[in-house]
Amino acid sequence: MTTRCSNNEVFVSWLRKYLSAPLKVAGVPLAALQKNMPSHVAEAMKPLGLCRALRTNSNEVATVGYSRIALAPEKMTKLIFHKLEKVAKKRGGTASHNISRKVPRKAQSTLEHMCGVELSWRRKDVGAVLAEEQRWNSRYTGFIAKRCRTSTQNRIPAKQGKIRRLLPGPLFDVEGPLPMQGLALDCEGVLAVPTYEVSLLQIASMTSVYVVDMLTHGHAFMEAGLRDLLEDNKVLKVLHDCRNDSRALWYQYGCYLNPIFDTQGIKRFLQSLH
Amino acid sequence: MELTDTNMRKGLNKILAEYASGINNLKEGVKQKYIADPNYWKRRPLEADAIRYAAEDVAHLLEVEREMSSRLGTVQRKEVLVRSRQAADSQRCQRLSDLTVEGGEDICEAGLSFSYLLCF
Repeated sequence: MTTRCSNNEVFVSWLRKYLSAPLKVAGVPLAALQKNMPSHVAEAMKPLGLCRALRTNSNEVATVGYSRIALAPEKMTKLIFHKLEKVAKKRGGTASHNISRKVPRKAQSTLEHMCGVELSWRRKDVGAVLAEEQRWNSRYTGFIAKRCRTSTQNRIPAKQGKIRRLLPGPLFDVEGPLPMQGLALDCEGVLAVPTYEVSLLQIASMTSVYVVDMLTHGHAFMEAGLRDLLEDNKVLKVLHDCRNDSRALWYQYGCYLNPIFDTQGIKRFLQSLH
Repeated sequence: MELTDTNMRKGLNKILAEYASGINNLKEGVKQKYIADPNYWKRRPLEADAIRYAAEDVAHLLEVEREMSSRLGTVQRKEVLVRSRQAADSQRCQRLSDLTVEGGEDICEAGLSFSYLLCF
């Protein structure tokens, strides 16, 4: 593979910001942690982006995504939690592990057992997370709340008028220069009626592939800049069969993929030419 | 008639074989698993194969785009972009999914597939 994408400013800056930024665990750069790690553990922490998961926010409370920590090897998990404990003790406090509310009970107790730490649920934060999610839902996908439950399954009622109004204006400037730089996209998950559940989003440049865990952190990533990238009309989005992917991203995140290069349809087009 | 989703998705490896340097070797194995198990992609941690499958699905797509673009003129390239746009937009039509009859969703899917095909 060549390095064709190296001059794609949008992609590079996005990556630098959201995937390649130095990760910190309780204020300690991950690189420093990795120095003391056995090499095979450190190796396992390299991307696929799923493993690049531990971030601390400004309050230095480690927000641990379950899926991500589970994808790291067990030893790694232990190391991280021990480090958290140490740092917290040094500062004269107790470690507050703000575990995502999506951690199932069983997983929580496993983690507690592994780390020898009691993990508390912080109600206030859970409330904040919920409020945040609600805000995003109402802002971008207000109609999703109107899903009605029938006897068998969730169905989305037709709200064509509302959907139309939510569509951004111009698609892309057909007269202007064509978008040349591209990213390849694909989604995995249950993408069809009635759930539209994006589990993974894969993004590929010419040089690398990133697998982003949307099931656990989709809204956070969207807010952090993924939406800007996906809706940027200077970046061509190359998809194979855009139907399910674009639909699912739209209904779940209100994200409007644009512009699209659909290889499946375009193959039909090419065949019709000859 | 290639209306159903499974049939259409088979095309990825065909397209990769024709336009790109590599194909997704894990297609058959992983696909069988997630068709059999609707919760396959929800699991955490994911199987290593699942992640590789997901990654290989997109790894060569840009080569395809490059190759296809080289076969299209500027005017045609504009046209396929507009058609791709229309194809994606056609999928937002949800009216059919309101059907509460038995098999309503199948009809809906078939309708959406059809409106997709009409765009190209």
